[in-house]
Amino acid sequence: MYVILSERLGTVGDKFDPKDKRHAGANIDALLAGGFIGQGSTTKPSKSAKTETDTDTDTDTKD
Amino acid sequence: MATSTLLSNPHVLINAVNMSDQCTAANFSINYAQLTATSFGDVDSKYVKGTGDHSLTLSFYGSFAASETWASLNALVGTTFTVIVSPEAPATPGTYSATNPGMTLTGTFLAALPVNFSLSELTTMDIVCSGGVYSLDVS
Repeated sequence: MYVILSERLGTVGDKFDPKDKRHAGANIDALLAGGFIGQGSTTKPSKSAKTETDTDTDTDTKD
Repeated sequence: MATSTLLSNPHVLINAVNMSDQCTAANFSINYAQLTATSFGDVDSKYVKGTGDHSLTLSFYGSFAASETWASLNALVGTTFTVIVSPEAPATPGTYSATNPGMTLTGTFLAALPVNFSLSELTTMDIVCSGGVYSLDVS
Protein backbone atom coordinates (compact mmCIF):
# COMPACT_ATOMS: atom_id res chain seq x y z
CA MET A 1 0.00 0.00 0.00
CA TYR A 2 1.24 3.44 -0.94
CA VAL A 3 0.32 6.82 0.52
CA ILE A 4 0.30 10.13 -1.36
CA LEU A 5 2.94 12.53 -0.03
CA SER A 6 2.62 15.38 -2.53
CA GLU A 7 -0.32 17.57 -3.55
CA ARG A 8 0.85 17.23 -7.14
CA LEU A 9 -0.43 13.67 -7.07
CA GLY A 10 -3.62 14.13 -5.05
CA THR A 11 -4.67 14.69 -1.48
CA VAL A 12 -1.76 14.18 0.90
CA GLY A 13 -2.39 11.20 3.16
CA ASP A 14 -4.80 9.49 0.80
CA LYS A 15 -4.12 5.97 -0.39
CA PHE A 16 -2.36 5.82 -3.77
CA ASP A 17 -4.09 3.25 -5.94
CA PRO A 18 -2.10 2.33 -9.07
CA LYS A 19 -5.31 0.89 -10.55
CA ASP A 20 -7.11 4.21 -10.28
CA LYS A 21 -7.69 5.78 -13.70
CA ARG A 22 -5.87 8.94 -12.61
CA HIS A 23 -2.77 6.93 -11.76
CA ALA A 24 -2.93 4.30 -14.49
CA GLY A 25 0.42 3.47 -16.04
CA ALA A 26 2.35 5.30 -13.35
CA ASN A 27 5.96 4.37 -12.79
CA ILE A 28 5.83 3.48 -9.07
CA ASP A 29 9.61 3.35 -8.62
CA ALA A 30 9.96 6.88 -9.97
CA LEU A 31 7.20 8.18 -7.72
CA LEU A 32 8.89 6.59 -4.70
CA ALA A 33 12.29 7.97 -5.70
CA GLY A 34 10.87 11.45 -6.19
CA GLY A 35 9.15 11.41 -2.82
CA PHE A 36 5.65 11.72 -4.26
CA ILE A 37 4.42 8.54 -2.57
CA GLY A 38 5.60 6.48 0.37
CA GLN A 39 5.07 3.05 1.75
CA GLY A 40 2.01 2.99 3.99
CA SER A 41 2.02 1.01 7.23
CA THR A 42 0.19 -2.32 6.98
CA THR A 43 0.51 -3.22 10.67
CA LYS A 44 -1.87 -2.14 13.41
CA PRO A 45 -0.40 0.08 16.11
CA SER A 46 0.51 -1.95 19.18
CA LYS A 47 -1.47 -1.52 22.36
CA SER A 48 0.17 0.28 25.21
CA ALA A 49 1.23 -1.79 28.21
CA LYS A 50 -1.21 -2.11 31.09
CA THR A 51 0.13 -0.56 34.27
CA GLU A 52 -1.43 -0.38 37.70
CA THR A 53 -1.46 2.94 39.42
CA ASP A 54 -1.39 2.84 43.21
CA THR A 55 -3.62 5.69 44.36
CA ASP A 56 -4.64 4.23 47.75
CA THR A 57 -1.90 5.32 50.13
CA ASP A 58 -3.75 5.10 53.47
CA THR A 59 -4.97 1.50 53.52
CA ASP A 60 -2.35 -0.03 51.36
CA THR A 61 -0.48 -2.74 53.23
CA LYS A 62 1.85 -3.62 50.43
CA ASP A 63 3.82 -0.41 50.59
CA MET B 1 -11.70 36.65 -38.28
CA ALA B 2 -10.94 35.89 -34.68
CA THR B 3 -13.41 37.54 -32.34
CA SER B 4 -11.96 36.41 -29.02
CA THR B 5 -8.61 35.82 -27.41
CA LEU B 6 -7.94 32.31 -26.17
CA LEU B 7 -5.14 31.86 -23.68
CA SER B 8 -3.42 28.51 -23.85
CA ASN B 9 -3.45 27.02 -20.37
CA PRO B 10 -3.01 23.28 -20.78
CA HIS B 11 -2.83 20.75 -18.00
CA VAL B 12 0.15 18.39 -17.90
CA LEU B 13 0.23 15.12 -15.97
CA ILE B 14 3.57 13.36 -16.23
CA ASN B 15 3.64 9.98 -14.53
CA ALA B 16 0.39 11.00 -12.78
CA VAL B 17 2.13 14.06 -11.27
CA ASN B 18 0.59 17.46 -12.05
CA MET B 19 3.45 19.58 -13.37
CA SER B 20 1.33 22.28 -15.02
CA ASP B 21 2.63 25.09 -12.82
CA GLN B 22 6.21 24.42 -13.92
CA CYS B 23 5.45 23.78 -17.59
CA THR B 24 5.78 26.53 -20.19
CA ALA B 25 5.33 24.65 -23.46
CA ALA B 26 3.91 21.37 -24.67
CA ASN B 27 4.18 20.15 -28.24
CA PHE B 28 2.19 16.97 -28.82
CA SER B 29 3.03 15.37 -32.15
CA ILE B 30 0.88 12.52 -33.48
CA ASN B 31 2.73 10.84 -36.33
CA TYR B 32 2.21 7.75 -38.44
CA ALA B 33 4.51 6.26 -41.02
CA GLN B 34 3.33 7.00 -44.53
CA LEU B 35 3.48 3.78 -46.51
CA THR B 36 3.33 3.90 -50.27
CA ALA B 37 0.46 1.92 -51.72
CA THR B 38 0.76 3.12 -55.29
CA SER B 39 0.64 0.35 -57.84
CA PHE B 40 0.90 -0.08 -61.59
CA GLY B 41 -1.97 1.57 -63.33
CA ASP B 42 -2.24 4.36 -60.72
CA VAL B 43 -1.71 7.86 -61.99
CA ASP B 44 -1.58 9.39 -58.50
CA SER B 45 0.32 8.46 -55.38
CA LYS B 46 -1.57 6.57 -52.70
CA TYR B 47 -0.60 5.99 -49.09
CA VAL B 48 -1.73 3.93 -46.12
CA LYS B 49 -1.11 4.42 -42.45
CA GLY B 50 1.87 2.61 -40.96
CA THR B 51 3.34 2.42 -37.49
CA GLY B 52 2.65 5.24 -35.10
CA ASP B 53 5.67 7.18 -33.85
CA HIS B 54 4.39 9.83 -31.50
CA SER B 55 6.24 12.27 -29.31
CA LEU B 56 5.68 15.01 -26.79
CA THR B 57 8.10 17.84 -26.15
CA LEU B 58 7.73 19.59 -22.81
CA SER B 59 9.52 22.62 -21.39
CA PHE B 60 9.72 23.12 -17.64
CA TYR B 61 11.22 25.59 -15.23
CA GLY B 62 14.03 23.74 -13.55
CA SER B 63 13.17 23.75 -9.87
CA PHE B 64 15.28 21.47 -7.69
CA ALA B 65 13.02 21.82 -4.64
CA ALA B 66 11.18 18.83 -3.18
CA SER B 67 8.25 17.59 -5.28
CA GLU B 68 9.21 19.91 -8.13
CA THR B 69 10.63 19.42 -11.62
CA TRP B 70 13.88 17.65 -10.86
CA ALA B 71 12.27 15.29 -8.35
CA SER B 72 9.59 14.45 -10.88
CA LEU B 73 11.73 13.97 -13.98
CA ASN B 74 15.08 12.66 -12.77
CA ALA B 75 13.78 9.25 -11.78
CA LEU B 76 11.99 8.87 -15.11
CA VAL B 77 15.08 9.00 -17.31
CA GLY B 78 15.53 5.68 -19.08
CA THR B 79 12.07 4.45 -18.12
CA THR B 80 8.57 4.32 -19.57
CA PHE B 81 5.53 6.00 -18.08
CA THR B 82 2.25 7.70 -18.99
CA VAL B 83 1.84 11.36 -19.84
CA ILE B 84 -1.44 13.22 -20.38
CA VAL B 85 -1.92 16.71 -21.80
CA SER B 86 -5.34 18.35 -21.91
CA PRO B 87 -6.37 21.84 -23.11
CA GLU B 88 -7.28 22.78 -19.56
CA ALA B 89 -7.43 21.20 -16.11
CA PRO B 90 -10.31 18.72 -15.83
CA ALA B 91 -13.01 19.76 -13.37
CA THR B 92 -12.76 16.32 -11.76
CA PRO B 93 -9.24 14.85 -11.75
CA GLY B 94 -8.96 12.09 -14.32
CA THR B 95 -12.22 12.97 -16.07
CA TYR B 96 -11.94 14.37 -19.56
CA SER B 97 -14.50 15.28 -22.22
CA ALA B 98 -14.87 15.85 -25.94
CA THR B 99 -14.18 19.54 -25.46
CA ASN B 100 -11.33 18.91 -23.02
CA PRO B 101 -9.76 15.66 -24.19
CA GLY B 102 -6.85 14.02 -22.46
CA MET B 103 -4.19 13.43 -25.08
CA THR B 104 -2.40 10.40 -23.70
CA LEU B 105 0.86 8.62 -24.42
CA THR B 106 1.01 5.33 -22.54
CA GLY B 107 4.42 3.70 -22.18
CA THR B 108 6.33 6.66 -23.57
CA PHE B 109 10.11 6.71 -23.10
CA LEU B 110 12.33 9.46 -21.69
CA ALA B 111 15.87 9.14 -22.97
CA ALA B 112 17.49 12.28 -21.55
CA LEU B 113 17.00 15.14 -19.12
CA PRO B 114 18.90 18.18 -20.36
CA VAL B 115 19.17 21.00 -17.82
CA ASN B 116 19.74 24.50 -19.17
CA PHE B 117 21.67 26.92 -16.95
CA SER B 118 22.04 30.44 -18.35
CA LEU B 119 23.21 33.71 -16.85
CA SER B 120 20.31 35.87 -15.62
CA GLU B 121 17.72 33.35 -16.69
CA LEU B 122 15.63 30.80 -14.86
CA THR B 123 16.90 27.25 -15.16
CA THR B 124 14.87 25.19 -17.59
CA MET B 125 14.52 21.52 -18.44
CA ASP B 126 13.30 20.50 -21.90
CA ILE B 127 12.35 16.89 -22.40
CA VAL B 128 11.14 14.73 -25.26
CA CYS B 129 8.81 11.82 -24.51
CA SER B 130 9.22 9.40 -27.39
CA GLY B 131 6.97 6.62 -28.55
CA GLY B 132 4.19 4.99 -26.62
CA VAL B 133 0.60 4.23 -27.45
CA TYR B 134 -1.44 7.28 -28.33
CA SER B 135 -5.06 7.55 -27.19
CA LEU B 136 -7.60 10.32 -26.72
CA ASP B 137 -9.41 10.18 -23.40
CA VAL B 138 -12.87 11.80 -23.61
CA SER B 139 -14.54 10.20 -20.59
